[in-house]
Amino acid sequence: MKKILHTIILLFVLGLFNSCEKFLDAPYDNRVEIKDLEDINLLLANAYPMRADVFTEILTDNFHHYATTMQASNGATYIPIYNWEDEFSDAITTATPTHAYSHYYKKVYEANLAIEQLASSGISSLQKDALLGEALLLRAYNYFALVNLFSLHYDEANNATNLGVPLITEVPKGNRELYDRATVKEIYDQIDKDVEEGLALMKKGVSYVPKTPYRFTLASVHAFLSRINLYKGKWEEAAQYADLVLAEKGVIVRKMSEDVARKSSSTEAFWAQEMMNPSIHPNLLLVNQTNLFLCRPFGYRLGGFYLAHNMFYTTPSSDYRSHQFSSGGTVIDSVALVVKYANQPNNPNAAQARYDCFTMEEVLLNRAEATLRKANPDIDKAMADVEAIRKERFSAANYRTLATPANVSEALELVLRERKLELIGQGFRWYDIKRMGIQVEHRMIRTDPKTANILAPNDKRTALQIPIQARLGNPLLDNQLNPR
Amino acid sequence: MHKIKARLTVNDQTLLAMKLTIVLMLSILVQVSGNTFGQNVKLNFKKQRLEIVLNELKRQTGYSFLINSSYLKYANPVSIIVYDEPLGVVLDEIFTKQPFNYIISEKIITINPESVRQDLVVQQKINGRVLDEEGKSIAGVTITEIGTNTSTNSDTEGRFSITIGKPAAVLRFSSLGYLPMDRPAAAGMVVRLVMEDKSIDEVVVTGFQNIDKSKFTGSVSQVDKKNIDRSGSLDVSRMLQGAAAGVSVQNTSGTFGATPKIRIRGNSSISANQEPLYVINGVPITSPANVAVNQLYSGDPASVLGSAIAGLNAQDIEDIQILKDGAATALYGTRAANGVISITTKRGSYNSRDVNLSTAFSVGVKPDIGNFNLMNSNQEMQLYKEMYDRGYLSNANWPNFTGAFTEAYRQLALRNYTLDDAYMELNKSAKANTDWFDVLFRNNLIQEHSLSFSGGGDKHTYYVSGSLADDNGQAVGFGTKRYTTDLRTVFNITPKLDLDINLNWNARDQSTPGTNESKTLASSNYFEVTREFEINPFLYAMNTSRAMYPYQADGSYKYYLENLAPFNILEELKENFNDVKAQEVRLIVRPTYRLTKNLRFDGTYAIRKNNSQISHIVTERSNMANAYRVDYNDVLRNQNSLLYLDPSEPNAYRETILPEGGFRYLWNNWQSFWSVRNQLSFNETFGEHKLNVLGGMEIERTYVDRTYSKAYGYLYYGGKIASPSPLAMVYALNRDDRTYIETFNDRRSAGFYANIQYTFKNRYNFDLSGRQDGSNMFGKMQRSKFLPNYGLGFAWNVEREELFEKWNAAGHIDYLKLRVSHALRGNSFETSPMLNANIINIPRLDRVNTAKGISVLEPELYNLAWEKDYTTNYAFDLSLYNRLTLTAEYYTRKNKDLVVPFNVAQEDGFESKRINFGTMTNKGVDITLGYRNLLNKRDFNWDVNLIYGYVKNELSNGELQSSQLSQITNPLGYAIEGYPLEGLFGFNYSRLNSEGRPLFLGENGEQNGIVAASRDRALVSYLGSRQPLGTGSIANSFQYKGVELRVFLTYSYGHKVFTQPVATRTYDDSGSKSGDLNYRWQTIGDENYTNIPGLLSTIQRTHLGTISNIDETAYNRSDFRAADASNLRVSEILLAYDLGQYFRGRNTAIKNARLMLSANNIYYWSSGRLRGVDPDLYLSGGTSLPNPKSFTMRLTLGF
Repeated sequence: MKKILHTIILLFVLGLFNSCEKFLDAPYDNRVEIKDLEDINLLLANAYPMRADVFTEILTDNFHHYATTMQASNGATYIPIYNWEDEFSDAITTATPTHAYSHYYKKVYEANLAIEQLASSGISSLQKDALLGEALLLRAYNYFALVNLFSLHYDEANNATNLGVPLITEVPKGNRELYDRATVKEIYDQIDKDVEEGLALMKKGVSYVPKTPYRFTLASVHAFLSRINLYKGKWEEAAQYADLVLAEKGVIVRKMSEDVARKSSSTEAFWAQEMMNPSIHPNLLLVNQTNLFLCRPFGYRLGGFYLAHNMFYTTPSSDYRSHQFSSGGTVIDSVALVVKYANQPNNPNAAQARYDCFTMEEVLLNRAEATLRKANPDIDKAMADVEAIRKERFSAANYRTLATPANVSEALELVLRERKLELIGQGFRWYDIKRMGIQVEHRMIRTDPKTANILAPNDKRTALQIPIQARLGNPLLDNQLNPR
Repeated sequence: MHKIKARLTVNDQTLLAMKLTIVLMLSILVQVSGNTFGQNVKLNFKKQRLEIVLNELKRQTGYSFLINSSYLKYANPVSIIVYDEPLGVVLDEIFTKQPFNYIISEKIITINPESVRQDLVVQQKINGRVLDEEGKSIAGVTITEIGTNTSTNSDTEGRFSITIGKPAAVLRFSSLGYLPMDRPAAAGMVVRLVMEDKSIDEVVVTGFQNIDKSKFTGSVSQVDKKNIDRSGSLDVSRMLQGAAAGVSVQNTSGTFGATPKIRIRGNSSISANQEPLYVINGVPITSPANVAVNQLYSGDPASVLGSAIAGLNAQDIEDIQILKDGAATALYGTRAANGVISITTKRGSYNSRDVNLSTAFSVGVKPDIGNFNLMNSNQEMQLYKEMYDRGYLSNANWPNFTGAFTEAYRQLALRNYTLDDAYMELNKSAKANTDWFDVLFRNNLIQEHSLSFSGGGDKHTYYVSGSLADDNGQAVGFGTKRYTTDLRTVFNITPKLDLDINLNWNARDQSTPGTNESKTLASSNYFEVTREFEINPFLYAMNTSRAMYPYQADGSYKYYLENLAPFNILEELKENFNDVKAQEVRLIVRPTYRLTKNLRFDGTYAIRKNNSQISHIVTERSNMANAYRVDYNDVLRNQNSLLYLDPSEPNAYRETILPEGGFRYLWNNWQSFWSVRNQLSFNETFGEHKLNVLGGMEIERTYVDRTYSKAYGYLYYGGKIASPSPLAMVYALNRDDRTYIETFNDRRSAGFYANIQYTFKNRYNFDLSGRQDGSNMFGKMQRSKFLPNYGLGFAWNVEREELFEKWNAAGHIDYLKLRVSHALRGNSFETSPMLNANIINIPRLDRVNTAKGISVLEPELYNLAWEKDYTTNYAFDLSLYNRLTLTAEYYTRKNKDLVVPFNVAQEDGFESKRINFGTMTNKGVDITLGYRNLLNKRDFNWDVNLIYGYVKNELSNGELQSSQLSQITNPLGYAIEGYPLEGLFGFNYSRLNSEGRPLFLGENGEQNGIVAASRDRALVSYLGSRQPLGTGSIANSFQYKGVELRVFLTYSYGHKVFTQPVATRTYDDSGSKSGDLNYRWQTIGDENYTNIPGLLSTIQRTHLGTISNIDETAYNRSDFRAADASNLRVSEILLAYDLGQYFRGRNTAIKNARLMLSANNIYYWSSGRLRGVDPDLYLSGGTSLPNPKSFTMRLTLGF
């Protein structure tokens, strides 16, 4: 009797252990378990980074500081940034290097998560290829942003020794992991590898590539490659990839006459909001931001940074682009904003806005520049690209082609001037300054010639310092700061 | 009775059904013994159970038997054949073979295990009566003449008569469950026996086993029943304040259903749950909606569902024990890291029948505005004038809100008032002196009625109760009704199988003011809780200008502007309210099967269903709804942030999303719980060795389904339909403000546990417990899924040592026990470490491209493990002269691997990640001292009970890096290494400068101006713990004949709070002003006399705003504004009178009656610097209210 009883109990307990495991495997709450390709598709839809680097406009020669119309709370954060200093107040938590650093790494994590899930899924299908390609490109895009913000510019001679950013290509699993900075070369090698693989996979699974302007398409990947090669100084490739974009999409640039018409027929706010509407503009890749205003220091009337006077006054009123210069203060102040994303009269906070990642104009300007810098420059071809844009920047009555340049360097000067004007306020000028070694002078008082703070060509400060908040969690970085 | 009947019939069908069930149960269960007299009996039994035989005897003779059911298991089978023999002979024959003896007295036969023989010497007959502490008669008390064998016992009315042998005899009164008592014999004597619960010889109910307390090695406190048997507060958890040493209870809100903040032996965790586990009859209970920890004290709508035992009627409780250390709770495993409050409900006793009625009426007392040190309206109006002169108040623009001053100006500007009217209005305001507490609070009436039937036969017992509680609300907008029934029956199905069934149903209807969910925003309020459209009456009464008034002269409402729309608090409380409905059914079935003499099986099977609903209704007439509609001129249209502009419309302007109707928010929770526990226990005695082994498994599941919906354009007065505008839907889409959200929680756990108790020579007790716990929170992570818990204990009954017994020959020391225990318990954090990702909407301006995505909120935490709590307890228990009892304990707790949101490397993708990083220690002392019958008088009894608990908490690791000072100086405390978890930190106030601005001391001396993002630790210093270090109570109980007076005081000390903020950047004319502001800086030179900052000029204000200066917040959170929060409270003064003597003889139906008058929570002493604000109150607004003062009259009747 006792034996039987004991056996029964033993079996009962053993049976329980087994079923217990199953019982405890049930999901705890309604969080999503990323299982199939559709889940990864959704994960990637939200894995696109915002344009956290738009704030770099105030590091450039596009903007000047105007103390009396700056909201005081902006000063502690943005005046040091404007002066290329390493330390600034973190009272403002968006549109700063601190925000950019953590944001791009968040998106690196999401890309890595998608890559890891796809790798472990064991599925092989065209859709998986398309998704894996997209994830790899996203990772490359994030590292490209990080390395261009926080490292010195790509320089083949010194890439192997120049400090890049920490390189994470897997989902971190440790309790508290610390990371050393990779070199610029290692970062670019990773970018090249990811882009190459990613593009190949996307081409393979092209039928599954989403058709929305908010996710990578072949055209926007080519635009990305054109930019990478331009920044690297690989002119042939930069032009080739631009060709691919134009071959697919045709030379369609923003029709600014329509923009201007919209400005007069509706409100300024509506016009500004529609500036990046993908339904009416030929943009290649966009992000839609619902809660953060990424051009905070220069994007509203009390931001404190306004269009540099040489840009403001040299752009003729017949040029439609001058319509984007919206007066910021009184007549006496003569300050102007560049309205490209949303009109923010005096509120730096939440607003829904669309930001561009790749536009057709940039691709054309990339090609124009590359065409002039490559082994056998073609002035006419480069000028044709510039004119393709300019034609839509004036009314038919006002449009005049530029005088044909006498030599390549003159042509290059024209192209770069056009690039600066066309892309103003979009956060690209800083990279041009870095790669071309342009000297920048910043003054606390615009009219005082003595107070200039000068950023020399190839200044070490073009590599923004690793933010203090990032060093707190990863103390290794304290010994690997950008040299000053 | 009538009251209950009326209520029951008025209410819904369910109630009626319940009532019928009760009646039905009664008719089945109640047995009325027949009155057939007869001395001779005939019996024919072969190997029958004793109780069957006794039952037969009872049937034949009409004699009643009193036997403690726990003895029956020792009874031997009876074989007897008698024909027409006298009862005495038959009993003698039966009991010669039993380990019992019997005593016959007045048709009651009491069966005792000791050998007490009747003596037939008759000399003097003494009559008397035995009562319990509450004046109820006690039946079956054995009364023995000391030094002889003469004994008798008391009858059902507690009466006895005994014949004594000596003239100066001393009688000993003893009964199970009561302390034995010796009294000189006297005719007509009345003896009150004291319940044994103060004694050491009691039983510890852990929920898994009942252990003789003398063997128990862990730390447990039994709650004095007097603490629970109180009125005026419907929720039992609130009554635990001061009930046990080391148990700190802060009643943070007086609203029914809100849970008090209970900490057993300090803080055990940084981010995980710190609430104790409630266990009813061995089954863990969670709050009705499994409320998230961060909502418990927030005043959010869900917080009224925070208390796990709100549905428990205090009258149904038999016993509450608080298991404090790891050794005591080891069998509960990971759920019990914060201690266990184990509640046992009442059951009937064998062969008895009792009906108890308790009815209580309590009247609450309004708070007195005089306590709050506020300016009177004249002083306010003078201040407003100064503010007006300095440009604070302007009648040129359209104000967001108006007060006494600006409303008059506004009406004048709108030409609604003439100049004369305006002056009259201002004069009226200056004299208004409105007492908003008088307007918004009332002397509420709380009724508590409870009726129970209990008793049983030989083979079963029953307990059936029903209760109704009704509180009409201490403030406008509040009200609660609660209904409970409890049904417990125990069947002895066979001699080996018992079945204990407990069915409980409770329901409530409650209303509170309309409450939006709170937000903690770093930016807007420096980490303090804020809430939109706050209409909490207490906050309103305290914070509203006394120059404003609620009614016009003609009796109609007086409106001021709030959120740009007309507002009157009384009207708003009617139009914006929460409706809370909850009900719960709980069934616990506990079979016990004795497999062999030593082996026993216990099953505990429980199921609980809980349904709760909170409906927040914002009617179309409410200020909140009207605020959404203010668009009637261009200025207001641009000013009203509640208006919305359709971004896809080229020519859109800002419009209301609520052209008609209001809102309705609905939260529905549906909770299902079940648990299964199977347990085998074995006990055996081998000579001097006693062994108890127990093992079992437990599986449980709690599933909560939550739905939330939001209706735009809800027409409360228009058919209760939602009539949303198209723009509202556009708004909802673009902002992703979802109108429907559904979530669930499925918490599953499984555990295996075992316990070994070994006692050697009846005095060396060893205890070893272990449990392995698993939970589905860890998902696929096998490594962390299970955690072993263990407890080790040793106890030494010193007084049983032979040497000690010799030394203690006089018997002064009744009891001396030393205990030591050590345990590890795990604690689980709040959410799963699995990847926390949700599907989200990604709304885009170009709606064709709107998409869905998956947002990753938290990464998978691969290395996250259980938090560990190592407890060690050293204790001794002492009892002297059968009067003085002392329990003193010293404990340490080391909490390791605490989960902290830590600043990890941002390259991980997250700015902070929860990792096991924190370490914390708690060290403390618990002392319980009881003295019975202090003066040693016959009729006058004075008992004293002192409870003291001290705990020192220190965080040794786990501080967040780089916090802003505004976060560190949070009024609720902040964790910094080397200080308590809830340490209060304040800015170092220095003095006012010549502009009347506060200066603060930093590293380099005085610093002018503190900015919001400041992290300079030199500016702040540690002020003290926010959590009391010492807590406890002092209970004095006096009894004189039928009268009892009890004074119960509770105290807490050693903590600091910030006093109510006085300084603000901008002063308005609608908020109340602290009387301290009368002494503000007004002109240069004042800084030498005052520390209250002055008013600022408009330009200064604007400037300070733009540089993120937070001087005012820093001032309010400075060492200068901190006060000692130590307090002593008169928790209860009770005067009780035994009415039983009046009923005796007149109405035989009434067995006992008692009338009690009590005053609850009527006064407290605390630092005058607190200006009348209760330091324990968390002013979280929303649904919360302070604890009311109340006076209660209560009558209990027993039939």
